[in-house]
Amino acid sequence: MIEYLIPAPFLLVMIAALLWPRRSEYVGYLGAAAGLVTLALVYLTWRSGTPGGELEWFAVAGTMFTWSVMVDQLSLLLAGIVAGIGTFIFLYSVGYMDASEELRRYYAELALFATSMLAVVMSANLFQLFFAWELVGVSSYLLIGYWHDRKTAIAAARKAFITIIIGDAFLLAGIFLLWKGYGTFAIAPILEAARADTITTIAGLFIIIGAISKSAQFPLHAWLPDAMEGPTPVSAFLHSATMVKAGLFLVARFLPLLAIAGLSPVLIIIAVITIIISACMALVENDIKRVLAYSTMNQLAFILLAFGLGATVAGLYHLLNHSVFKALLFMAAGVIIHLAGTQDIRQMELKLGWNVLAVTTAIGALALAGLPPLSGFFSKDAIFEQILHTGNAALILVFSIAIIMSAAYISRWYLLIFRRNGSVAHVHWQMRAPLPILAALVVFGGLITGMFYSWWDSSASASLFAGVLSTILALAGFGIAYAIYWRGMDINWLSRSSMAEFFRQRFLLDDLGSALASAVQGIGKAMVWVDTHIVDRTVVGVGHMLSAVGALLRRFISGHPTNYLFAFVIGFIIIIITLRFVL
Amino acid sequence: MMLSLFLIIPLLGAIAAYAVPRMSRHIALAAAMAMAAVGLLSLSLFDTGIKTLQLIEKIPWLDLGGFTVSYHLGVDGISYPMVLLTAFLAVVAVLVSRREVHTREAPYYAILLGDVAAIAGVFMAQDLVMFFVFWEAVLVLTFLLILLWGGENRKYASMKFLIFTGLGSAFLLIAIIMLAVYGKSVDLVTLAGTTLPLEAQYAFLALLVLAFFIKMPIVPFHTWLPDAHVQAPTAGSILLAGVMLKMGAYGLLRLGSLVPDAIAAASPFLFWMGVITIIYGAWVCLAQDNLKRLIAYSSVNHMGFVLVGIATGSALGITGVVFEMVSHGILAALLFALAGVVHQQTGTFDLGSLHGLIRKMPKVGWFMVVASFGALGLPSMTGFIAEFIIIFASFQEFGMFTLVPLAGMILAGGYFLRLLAKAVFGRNDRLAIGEQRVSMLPFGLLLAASFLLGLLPFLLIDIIRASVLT
Repeated sequence: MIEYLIPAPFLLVMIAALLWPRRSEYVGYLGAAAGLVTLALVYLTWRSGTPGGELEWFAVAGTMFTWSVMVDQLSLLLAGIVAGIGTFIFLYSVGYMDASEELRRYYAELALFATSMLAVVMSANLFQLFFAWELVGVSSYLLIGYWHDRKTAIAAARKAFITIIIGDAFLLAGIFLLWKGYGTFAIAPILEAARADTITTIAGLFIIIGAISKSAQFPLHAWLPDAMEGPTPVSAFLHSATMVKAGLFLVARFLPLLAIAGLSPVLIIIAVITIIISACMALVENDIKRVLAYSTMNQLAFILLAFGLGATVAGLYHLLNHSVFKALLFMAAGVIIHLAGTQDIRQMELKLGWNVLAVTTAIGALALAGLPPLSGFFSKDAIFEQILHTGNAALILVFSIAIIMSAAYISRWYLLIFRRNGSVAHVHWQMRAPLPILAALVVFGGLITGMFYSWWDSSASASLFAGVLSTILALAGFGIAYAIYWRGMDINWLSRSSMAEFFRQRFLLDDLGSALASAVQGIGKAMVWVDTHIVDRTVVGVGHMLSAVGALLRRFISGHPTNYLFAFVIGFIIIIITLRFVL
Repeated sequence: MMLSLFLIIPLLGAIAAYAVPRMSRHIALAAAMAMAAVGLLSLSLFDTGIKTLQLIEKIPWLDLGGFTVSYHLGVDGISYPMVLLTAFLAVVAVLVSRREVHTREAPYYAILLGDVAAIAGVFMAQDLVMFFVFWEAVLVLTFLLILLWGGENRKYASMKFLIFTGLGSAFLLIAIIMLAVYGKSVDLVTLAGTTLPLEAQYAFLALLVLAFFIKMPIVPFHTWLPDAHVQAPTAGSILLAGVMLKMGAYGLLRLGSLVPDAIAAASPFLFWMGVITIIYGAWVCLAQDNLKRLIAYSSVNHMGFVLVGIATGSALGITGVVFEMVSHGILAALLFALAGVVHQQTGTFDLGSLHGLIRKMPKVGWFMVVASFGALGLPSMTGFIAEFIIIFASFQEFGMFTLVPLAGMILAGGYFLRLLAKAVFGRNDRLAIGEQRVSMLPFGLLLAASFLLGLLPFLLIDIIRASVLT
């Protein structure tokens, strides 16, 4: 039974937050505690060895809808990430969110997210998965738009949610197609029976569209950088560590089916495009959080690429590591914004030295760049290994460049931030405390590589060659950034080039999206005009012509209700008499 | 006697409210609450295992040359939820009227309660003459509500309402007469046992379609609705969107079941009319700048889903239809109740002028947010279950064509998020708010109902289940 309780602690936090009288910071501590309890529940579920189970919810016309739990490595891994990172986020929020008035709402929304995300990853059936999946989208909308006074925040929230609703519609269609093909909503039987036919292929495609809308992959990625309008703990929790992983979780869950349906190349193509464009955009971005947002897109695409190549375990290992080091980077970014008073990395004046902030941020950045011996190195290397195995020259080239670029953009980010000698202001302990802990996890995370693989009944296939090559590539990326942003190499010719400008314009993809939205809106405007000037007039006209009743009534437009009542009574008597006469 | 109480209580209430003007609002509330209480009590009498009518009351009334017109009431799993919904919304309608209506209170409450009784009558009547009498009474009483207590442009709107729906009634009357001629009876139970010749079935269905499409309304017969809503008093809008539109869908289900072959043949037509209504309604909402018009068109959008469900003809689809009717009844009532309060406090329905509402009226603003979530079909509220079932049923009957109404769900997301971005969130120092105290009770009741049935859908599905089995 314990597996059913995994979403419960955060649900209680949500209720507590809504009912809490005042001093809301205690809800933050409560949330952190709930994270630990959830982690314990995940552990106990794992120890108990239960395969999960299902409870009847309701039945419609012979179709049973259940609340069911699937316990396997995938669900436990994701639940563990949500609970673990959630603990730090709630604690961090206590320090970060002090200035806000509506803190109860913040914690309630955050807890709603955690609850529904846990329900997504533990789902054993597609109805429940979709139910929770949409709640994840809602909580993301509410949290991005948390500061609802800000026009930009509301616009960003709207953009994110619309993208996600588009994905949801496709996912729902995919779910129903799977039902048509396999006659059930339960996930395990569908995966077992998966076959290569048209309905499976289309369903698989729709599921991929649903997944990439949540995981911000091309072409449904444009909402993620804008989502940085939300509070930084939200960016750390939802938009890097967990929520954006929901899409990848879905792909991982359905990977056997997608592979059978022949959709792996689709995953690879989406991943490759996302890797390239996100790295380019990250290189020219100046907002501290947006660079991280692009890097999230970039790293998620690495994972998606791994899935596409069938390297599921490597992908999931990178997913785990990315959650940790990206949460670290975002929490550090929150502290940095607090100290610097700006989000523009060109204007930051922080001190580089042996202080906690500079060191832990460096650890996160180096892990992202994939340098040994940090955790990011092991998982990224595993993916690289897999790519070398394919022997596909184009893919190897793209990924090699991607390693250089990711090292370059994160080094640029870091070097610009810590370029000068600035003052050190006071930072709440709740904000400082998670940094060294997460940094330690990043430093020592590589140690569990073997354990992680054996947990999945798989083995790590590391070759020295791949490791050395990827390290050299990452160092090259770092070297380029170092030369430009620390040594002051002149790159005006490059940064002023039309290519850089094209990157800054986000490949014009956002404009394309806005144009599409305006077109839809414009058609709506035209339809309102047609509705009032054509449809209404035509129907009214035809109605007048057809209706003797109408003609009769027009004589009575006198405004005296008694007349209408009188007409009604007369009409009724006529009807009764007609009935009598006709029959 | 149980079902008659749904008529007697509001009618007695109406008379008492008219007779004692000083106490009319209290009498009205007492009557509505008594009706709701009867609704709760009747739950224990309703047997969810029975497929056919129950709680039957039948008294011969008029003898018209061989035709016996009887006072014949009864409910099944399709109509009973609608009766309960009517009783529930009666309480809400009276509650919201207390702050809004200050002139001619006695006739107002008398007409409101009379309207409620007539609507309940439509859902319970098993005799076609009675059905038609109740149907017409709803039309006239609602017309009076709009005409006498409506907004600035109430004359035009109420006349338009009367002409449109009156025209629908004319078709309904012809259909009823036709049925009486062919079936030799006006009793629905008797008629259910007779099969009409195919041509007669088609003719009958064509008349039903004209009559009920206007009422639901289905595009292009919908244009009376936004005008009526914008001008109607809040309670009128609540009844109109909450239960009156469902009279059309209910009529199509109930009378349509008499001509099963024609309904089956017309299924693609009904489906596409539903789809057009979904897309059209949603798309027009996307560019609406008047809050009440927007909610009115969102009703059009939702009634499109109802028609798609009816088109499937399957047990699953009809369950979805009843669920959607209840769901939309609750959520549209909530949205209109909120719009009413917003208008009282700000004097406007214009989305742009309402920008930043949530800063000035936080509670109302957040109710608006959650109500919009419910109406756009997000989980844990009723709309999600309803639309999930209908789309599910549609996929089984119409396959990939269902992708089109799914696109309507994206548009629905678009217009509700636009509504929130434009009228609720943001910062606006020019927005002035009235001093009146606003009671959150009606909103809380409606929202609680939506969450209750959204999280525990079996509460409603159990009532529907037996009657939709084929």
